[in-house]
Amino acid sequence: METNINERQDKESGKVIVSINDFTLTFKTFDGTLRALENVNLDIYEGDTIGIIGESGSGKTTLATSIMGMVADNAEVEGYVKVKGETVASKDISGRSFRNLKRRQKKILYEKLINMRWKDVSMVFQGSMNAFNPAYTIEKQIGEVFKIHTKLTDEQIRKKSIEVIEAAGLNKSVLKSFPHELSGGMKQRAVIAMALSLSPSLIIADEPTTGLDVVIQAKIIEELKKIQRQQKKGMIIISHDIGVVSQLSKKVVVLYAGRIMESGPTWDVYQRPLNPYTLALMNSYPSLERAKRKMNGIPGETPDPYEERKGCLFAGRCGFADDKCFNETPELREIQKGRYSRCHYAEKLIGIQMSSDLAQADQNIEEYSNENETIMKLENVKEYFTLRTSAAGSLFSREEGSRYVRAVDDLSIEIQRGEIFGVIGESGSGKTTLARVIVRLLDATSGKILYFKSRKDTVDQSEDKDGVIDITAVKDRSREIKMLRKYSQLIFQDPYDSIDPTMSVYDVVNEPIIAHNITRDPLVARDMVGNALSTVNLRPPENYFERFSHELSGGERQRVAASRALVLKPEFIVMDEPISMLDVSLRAGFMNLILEMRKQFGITVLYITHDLASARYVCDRLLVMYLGVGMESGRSEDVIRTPLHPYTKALLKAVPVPSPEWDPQLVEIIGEIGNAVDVPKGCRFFKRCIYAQSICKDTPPPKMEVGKDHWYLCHFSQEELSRIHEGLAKKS
Amino acid sequence: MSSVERNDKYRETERDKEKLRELRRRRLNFRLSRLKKQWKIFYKSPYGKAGFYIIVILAIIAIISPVIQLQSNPSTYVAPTVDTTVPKLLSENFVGNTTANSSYQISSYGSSTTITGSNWVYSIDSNGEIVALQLETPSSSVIGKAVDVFNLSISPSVPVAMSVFTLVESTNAFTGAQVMSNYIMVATSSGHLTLARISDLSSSGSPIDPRLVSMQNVSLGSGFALPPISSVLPVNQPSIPNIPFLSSSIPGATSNVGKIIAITENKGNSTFYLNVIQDSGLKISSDKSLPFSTAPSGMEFYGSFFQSSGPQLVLITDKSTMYAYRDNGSLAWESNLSGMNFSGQLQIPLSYQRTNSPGNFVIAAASNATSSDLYRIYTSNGTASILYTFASPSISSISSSYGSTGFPSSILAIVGDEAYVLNGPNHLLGKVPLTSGVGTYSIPPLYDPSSNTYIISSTSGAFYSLTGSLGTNPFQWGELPQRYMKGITPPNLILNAATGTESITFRGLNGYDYVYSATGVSVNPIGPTFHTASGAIFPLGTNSEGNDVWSQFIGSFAPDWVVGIAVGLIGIIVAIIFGMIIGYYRGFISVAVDTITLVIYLIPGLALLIALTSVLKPSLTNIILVLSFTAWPFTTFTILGIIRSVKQRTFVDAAKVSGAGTLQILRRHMMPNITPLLIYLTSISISGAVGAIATLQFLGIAPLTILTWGGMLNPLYDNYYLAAIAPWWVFPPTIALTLFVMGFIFLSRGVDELVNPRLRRR
Repeated sequence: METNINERQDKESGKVIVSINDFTLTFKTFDGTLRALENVNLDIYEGDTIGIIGESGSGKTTLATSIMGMVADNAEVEGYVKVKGETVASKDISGRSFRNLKRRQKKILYEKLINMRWKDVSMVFQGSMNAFNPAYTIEKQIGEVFKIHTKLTDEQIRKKSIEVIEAAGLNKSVLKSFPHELSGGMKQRAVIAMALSLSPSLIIADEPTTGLDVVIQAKIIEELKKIQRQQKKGMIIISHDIGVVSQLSKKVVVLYAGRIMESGPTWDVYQRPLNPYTLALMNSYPSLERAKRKMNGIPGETPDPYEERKGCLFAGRCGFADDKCFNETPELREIQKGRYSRCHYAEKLIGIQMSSDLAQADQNIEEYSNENETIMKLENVKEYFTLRTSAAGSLFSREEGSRYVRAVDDLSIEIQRGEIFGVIGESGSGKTTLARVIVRLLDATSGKILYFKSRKDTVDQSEDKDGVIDITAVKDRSREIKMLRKYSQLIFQDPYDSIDPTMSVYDVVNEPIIAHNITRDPLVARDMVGNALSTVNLRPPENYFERFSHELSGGERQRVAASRALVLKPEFIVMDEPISMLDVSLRAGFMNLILEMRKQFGITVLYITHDLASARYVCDRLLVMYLGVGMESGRSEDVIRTPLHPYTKALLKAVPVPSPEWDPQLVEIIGEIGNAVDVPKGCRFFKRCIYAQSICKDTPPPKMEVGKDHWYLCHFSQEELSRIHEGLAKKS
Repeated sequence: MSSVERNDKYRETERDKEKLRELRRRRLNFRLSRLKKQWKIFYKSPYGKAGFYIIVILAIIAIISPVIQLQSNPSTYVAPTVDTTVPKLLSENFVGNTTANSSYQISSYGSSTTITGSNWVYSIDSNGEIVALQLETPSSSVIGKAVDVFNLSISPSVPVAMSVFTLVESTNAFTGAQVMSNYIMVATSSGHLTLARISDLSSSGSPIDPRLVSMQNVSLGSGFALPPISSVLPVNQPSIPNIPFLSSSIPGATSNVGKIIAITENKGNSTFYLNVIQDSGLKISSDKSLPFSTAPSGMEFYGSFFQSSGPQLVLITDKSTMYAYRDNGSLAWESNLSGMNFSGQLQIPLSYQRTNSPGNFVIAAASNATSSDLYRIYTSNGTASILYTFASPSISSISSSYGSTGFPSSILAIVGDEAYVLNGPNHLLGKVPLTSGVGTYSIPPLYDPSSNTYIISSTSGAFYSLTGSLGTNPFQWGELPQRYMKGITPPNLILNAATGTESITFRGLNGYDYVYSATGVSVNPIGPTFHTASGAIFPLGTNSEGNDVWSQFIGSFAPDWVVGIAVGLIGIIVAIIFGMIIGYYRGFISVAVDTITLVIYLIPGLALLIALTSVLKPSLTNIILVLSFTAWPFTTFTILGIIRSVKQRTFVDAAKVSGAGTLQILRRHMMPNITPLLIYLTSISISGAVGAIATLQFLGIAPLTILTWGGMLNPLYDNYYLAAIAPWWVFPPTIALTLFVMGFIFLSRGVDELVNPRLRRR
């Protein structure tokens, strides 16, 4: 048996709530045996806050659901999980064995689990904010928890509900609302309130902030921190985001392919990792501090969970690995006091500092020199969607067309040839709409988008002497749109959906060749597809030709999508959050690919993201969007280092960093992003701005130019803003 | 261009061609391996496997159906009457032991002296026990009452002949009414003759059980060479219920009295004698030695109804000669055949027995080693002429209709297992095969003048009613030997004067007397049988119309498949087109098609089907069109939903950005993504179409000229107990229909597992 983490935890810190002992979980599936968890040992004491980090497929959620006693019926279990001394998962009662239990035993077990869930351990499932029943009010749904588990009267339940909803930082009026009336952040908080309702000793939060915007993420983190502080609850935070875990947990467990790779106090692990995987993982995160320092990501892929295992699972991707690593499975050992690592050579890593000790990580990425040639110019582009409340409403409405979603409102930008232009904003700010308008998947409501063809263009020399295409004006099926489709491309956010699952990689990449009738010679087409795949590092391309998207990992899929975009050698690519769906260890690789593509082919990229760190890493210039309006724009270094607009400032502060200094309370913003239907007459940011003055309400703000190519949309200069801020500080 | 360059260029193109071939091969292999992989997944699912096998089996049957289907036109084919109509068994009674080789043990008479009297059938067993069996009476439907009349106790000898006839005993001097009595004549193997008078009337004239009134015996001292015959016809001719019988006491017929004619053999010197015995007092009136040394082959009396005994003849055949003796023993004529021997079967049409005319003739069978002939020999002078020549060396039995003055309307000769019907000299009306392997047809067929039919019977108990005019359906009914009978005695046809029904009676060798109605009853539906009178086989029996269920069942496979596949494919193609138009495009046409589809979808399907079928002409094509018309909306809406959801997928936008046109998107993205659904929907609509046509035909709305399983079940609609009455008819189409629908549903489940990996993981 391996050493139990936290075993030597001082006894005064409380009694053990959850003890996981040598826990192994495998799923029997059609494709074979899937190993989800292997020899997991973990004790959780009262009041512990433990973070579990891992990439997708590392077994984080399986571990959490096992603690809840929810084991899928095709699973096989070794070892046990005990909650407050009661076994909730073990070889005899879980998974496939459950079926063999006698009826009575099943009933007893079921009652035991019902008692344990919510009362002892409660869980906030990933995406559970979308699991509210839309037909009932929040009050009814929270009240249900009490009704099932307690014998309280209706009046008591009402009081309790108010209590928990306020503890989760919500107004009690929320209780009377239906789920669709609440924003994502409010729903997430309501879910947390539900988890708190029976005051369990331990709360498991599975990716509590995934799918939420940075600002709301900061608020949720603040809320959870408050709960930790005030109620002294134990908490397990599961996330792939180091920032979130670091802020919410004192201890961290790093999972990789079902094994615990490292564990220890959070700050220690972050600053001085004792496991090569942790080290590499930390190094793959684009972070605001590290700026433009070259990241390498982790080469390779996570091991196939169906394969037979031998040696260290990370050996194939590890720079330090030798024969021993491939043949002997390392044990989880205590390297320093409270620090455990599963590595044969963990001792060698002692003393390596995260920040600068790795030589290779010290290279900065190259600056790109601008050609000063405009490739695309947006002039007052507007994209309004008509809002139809109902069929009857749209028919009989008197003020026809009065209600719009102003997805993109009067946007003017100019993109230089060869640059990577970033667009940042929360969800709902109109980024994706902008991308679709630019590649003409949507027709702009008004405004002009001018595309300037390259002077060096050899593909089509015949006509259009001026070389300008007005994207908003071209007609469907015209020659221009054909050309435009050749010149500009779009890479979508979701690599799982942007590749037709019924098509092989070859067919996917071959599609533009067929569509544009480039060649009828299959050999030429084959070479083109091969080259495109090689460009995105899928080598040798022949191995990928006959694979389907479900046989590829997320990173590979996004590369295939990229190679489809690149196969006709376009000049301009719009990338709509290309890395947001990728695993952390693969993100750096894709970002480097973008930089490489630009360097090699001089492609211009419009990079759309909500992640400021990655934007800083790849982009030359940035535009911050808020409710369809550009709030601030400038060279990315300038925008990140010296944000001018209050919104940009808030956004930057909201990004959680693995550092004790970060405090979500410092995020100076009110509420959440609204909808783009009833926009304020004046400044779009008016309702959320802490600096807001009366002028902001009705007067559209002017563009304030500061320095070279850096402007922001506000009534006030920086001096005025800091004065207002001081005034606010005095008031409070 | 130098030759080197040209060579290089040539090599280049060669290499390119090779590369191209390689590329194509790779693509093909890839597609094949992908198919194989999908097939494996599909096959691994138990549903898919079961569905696949069910469908393959059903398809194979459909393909080979023309071969295994027994009748080429199953919808109109009706099983021959001989197989599906049987005489009704009226009664069966155990009456005593019967030995297999004894013959002529049963006789019967159809009428009592008064109309109110009972009707009895008499039979004798091997011990000489005479039993009477009561037929139905007008007052009581109880039949089959058996009564012991008396016992001759003839053992160890056995009876060789028995016949029952009516004799007039006296005439009432005032009214002129004749007083008639029933007599039973029994001849035994030891040369004894017994004539017994029986009566079933009490002295006061009320019906009672038959009893012996008086009995006379004579012993001829030596055995009979042939069963004795009587100049009086036995009571087995239904056309003459009131027989004016000749006895010594008939006024005006004093010169001609009832006689019994017997040929006896003196075993000591192998001499044969012709004995003529007067039936009053059993007095031997003539005793003539015959001029041959071997037993004669046949004997027949000519002129039973003649008023005077002058032209009456006893016809005896021996080898190639026919002798005609008068009743005083003198030889009237003799007739010689050249190269042919008489085989003993003699037949005189009944009308010739009434009046003596120069055209009267006796029909006689004769044969040699290779062939056999049917002769007509004129009774006036013995002139012989051939009526017909058969290739077979023997004629089993002959019979004829009654005839009148001329040639009888039909002459029946059974040769081997075939019945030949002649309607003139050398004029064959036709021949009909009889069931083979059921004994020989040596029992002379009986002619029933009321229906112009011959009752043919075999020694082991098969019997048929064959019409004298043949026609397309020559048999009126038929019955195969019942195994428990172990063979039968020659049957008698009797007319029950009291009820007017004709019956056939015979004794089984198991000791039972059987009474059958002479009119057949249809027994459709008959159960599965491989052994029928006509030789046809019915593996699944027949239906109530007499159609062969097996042929209908097998014949239904192909139409059902055609309807299913045609409707499935038409529905799917229409649904793909409309589904794509509505799903992919937006605009007026899309909305219009959407609305029309919805309207058709919302009209109740069955009502629409009924309405459409009643308007259109009933034909397979129209049925397919009608079913397709109601089938496509459901499929369309399902496809529509998928198209709309696929349209929302990012890869469609990605294709648009790649420059793909609408058609390319529809073909390369929409089609592959709905293909599994299409397979699913096609299989559902195929089974749905088969179910729909089954429904229509079951309800009798669609034309039943098209064979389908549903049509076969149509009669079930009228008779809910059909499944219990004729399971062989109801179950095969039901099972096939169920399997067909189930097979396709299983298939679609298998495809579902292929498409939906989430199901597979479990």
